[in-house]
Amino acid sequence: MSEPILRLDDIQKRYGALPVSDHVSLEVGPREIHALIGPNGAGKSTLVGQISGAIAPDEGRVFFAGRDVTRVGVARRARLGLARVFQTSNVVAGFTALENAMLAAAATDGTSFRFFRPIAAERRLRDRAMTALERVGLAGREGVSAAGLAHGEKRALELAMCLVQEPKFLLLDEPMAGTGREETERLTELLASLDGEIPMLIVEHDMATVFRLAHRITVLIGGAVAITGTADEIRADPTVRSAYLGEEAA
Amino acid sequence: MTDAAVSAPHPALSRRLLGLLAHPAVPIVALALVIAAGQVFGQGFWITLAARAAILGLAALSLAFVLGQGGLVGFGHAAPFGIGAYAVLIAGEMGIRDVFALPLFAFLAAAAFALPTGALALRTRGVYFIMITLAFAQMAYFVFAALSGLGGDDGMSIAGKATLFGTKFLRSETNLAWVAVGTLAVVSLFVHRMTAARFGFVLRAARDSEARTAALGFSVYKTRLVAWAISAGIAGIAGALMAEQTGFVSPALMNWHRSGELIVMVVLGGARRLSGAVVGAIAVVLVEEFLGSTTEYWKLGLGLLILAVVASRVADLSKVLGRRS
Repeated sequence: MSEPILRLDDIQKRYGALPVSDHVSLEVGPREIHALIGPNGAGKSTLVGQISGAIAPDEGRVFFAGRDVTRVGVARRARLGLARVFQTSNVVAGFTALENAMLAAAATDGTSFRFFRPIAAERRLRDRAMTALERVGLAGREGVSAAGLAHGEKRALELAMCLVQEPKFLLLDEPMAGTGREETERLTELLASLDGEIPMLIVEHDMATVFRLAHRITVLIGGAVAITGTADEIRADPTVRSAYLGEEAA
Repeated sequence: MTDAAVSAPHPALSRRLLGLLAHPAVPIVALALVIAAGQVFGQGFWITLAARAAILGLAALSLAFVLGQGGLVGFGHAAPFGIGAYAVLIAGEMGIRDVFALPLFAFLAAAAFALPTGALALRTRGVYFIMITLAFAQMAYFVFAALSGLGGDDGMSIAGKATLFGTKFLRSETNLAWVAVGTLAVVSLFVHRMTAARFGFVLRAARDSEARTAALGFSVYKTRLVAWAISAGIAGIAGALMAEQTGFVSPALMNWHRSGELIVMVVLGGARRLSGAVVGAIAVVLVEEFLGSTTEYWKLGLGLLILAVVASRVADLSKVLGRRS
């Protein structure tokens, strides 16, 4: 495997006496979809916070795209190409799907100070936005106001707004939370279609999604990495079975 | 909800007609026609009234831009308006009376006031923003009231009307009216362009979802500050025109009543449409003039008009919300 896009090196984080990240090391390859699973209270959210930059680790280092970003904040990590999907994002409800995507495209230029050219005439922006909308299956829905989109469509729009910014890496924190069975499947296939194109770290409870998408899975238990391996290795692992999968089945 | 469509006899036709009437040029063309008619029929009063409506319309338009597009309810737009007027007074004292230099001077003076005060005010939201813009406007009011060199409380006549290539062009009430309407037309075009451009787009996005817009990487604060300064500058141009019309500048121009009146104009015309501000200004000027000459309680009439308009809007809104759910 060539150089990983994301590398956590012996991350430690304590809240008082309680270790929530206990010597966590983890790598996501440049073309990998990596899943992070674990029972409630395993420290997944804290780890996600340390990857996105919202939480600083007590010890250890975070590398993103070959850079040490341990002390780099959320906004700068986002500009480096680390996109956190379905978390900060709620779409602009009064805007149409196309306008939302164009807003995201405009953001990559980083300026709002264009006073004379009508936004509708910014062809490049429009084309990029349309491409992203088509990519997530929202072609034909671009004129619908975001408030009028179904829940699953809104998620797809959020993903489009992310893709339009051409991120280097997607951090997905429970993308399937609150979606129905059918929407989950559609969204899973959507993410699967990005396989090999954009590396991802996905934190998810839905095991069908995890097994469908992930090349490798890391299981977090009590703040520490219990095992990292392929889906088959994870399924066969006895500790995981008792601590996590068993609990899920119950 | 189909009953709305059923009750209207020709929904497509009436909608197209309404769409045509809602074109931003309509109120401005109407003002120009009134001035032309005033010239033809020798009705100086019409011309004065149209000029006043154009000037207040320009001020209301400046507020409509930040209020409607940016969601920034400024309750102190009388301040840049008055500062624009004082800019004319001061420029006149310095011997500058050129009709092209004065608006520029007024724009810069008002924007210069808006930048530092806006920089502070824009750190607050909602009611606090309203109160802090009011507070800054009141400060400006009392500062100018205390400047005895500029007439203090009583105000002062401007040294002379603006000139065009050295001729005393704006001595004529009609010429001033044309300049006012022409300025309104040009600025309105400019503001509409700005609104349709990326700048207005991001401003609206921030109005609807500030957190999202910021998360995408836009500087909401800077965008709003620039919009705020441009808006104030335009209000300053309107104030300069007002100074030219009345020939007199006093702190009363910055009275907080005027800030409220500008909000009334914007709300009357519909805050989301820029040209609504001009319509609202025309309505207020007409009510003030015709109701004002029959009864001193004319503001009661204005109050009832506001109530009626707002009530009809709320009714529309509930219809829209009902359809959505």
